[in-house]
Amino acid sequence: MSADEQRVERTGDVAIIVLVFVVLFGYDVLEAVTNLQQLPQLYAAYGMAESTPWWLLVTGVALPPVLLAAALWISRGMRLVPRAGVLLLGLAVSAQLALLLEELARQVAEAALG
Amino acid sequence: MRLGGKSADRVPGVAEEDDDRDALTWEGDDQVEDLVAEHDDEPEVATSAAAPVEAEPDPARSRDRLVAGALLVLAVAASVGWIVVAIGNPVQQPSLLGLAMYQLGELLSIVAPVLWWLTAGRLAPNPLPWRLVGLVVTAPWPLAFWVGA
Repeated sequence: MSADEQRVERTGDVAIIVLVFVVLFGYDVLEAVTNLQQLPQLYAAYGMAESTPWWLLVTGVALPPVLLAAALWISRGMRLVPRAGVLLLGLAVSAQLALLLEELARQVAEAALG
Repeated sequence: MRLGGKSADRVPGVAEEDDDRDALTWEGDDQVEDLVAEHDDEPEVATSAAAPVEAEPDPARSRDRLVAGALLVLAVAASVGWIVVAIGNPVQQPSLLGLAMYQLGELLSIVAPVLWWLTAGRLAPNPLPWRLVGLVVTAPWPLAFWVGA
């Protein structure tokens, strides 16, 4: 087997790596959808439904798929390890943004409560 | 003891000296010595050719390495900031899976600045702009909102 032939990644390997990251990004979406369902009820229970930070909740749902698509687009044609590295970086940025959105939602709630 | 010899038909005296030399040498030894001498010359030539390159470091490369080192220090500082964010995070998870995934997210947040620095260096032909973008994207922004609140 020549060096050029060794560089060709098997489609199955790439599919497994992508599938693992799709599941991990999918969990982020699941968490964001849970927040989208439950947080408005919590705000309503405290009598401040009008203060529900919808833009934060919707952004939280939209960000993981956008970051996954960006990571897949950037890593297209790369070998297996760099591709996994870019996808891991996308997941890490998704986690950071989720923590940032949580902090913003916390401050919105504190401001609404006075 | 004789190491070799086939000199029954040689002149006594002279033949014994020749036999000793025959036993300790091989035909073609002179050629081998010449060959070794030729190869011994090559590293000296290579060393003398490489010496000027080492003696004159590229100033642009030195500057790039300095900038990359400074950006790595900032990335590590951002990671420390995310550690502070993770420690001060009051969120509690109701399930073991939720706790594990949440802590995985916090861990990824902590390693993201340095991971971005490494990935840019590994994949981008010119990593400097990508590393600058990474510093902005992976900065510990929740800390800024804590300070601003």
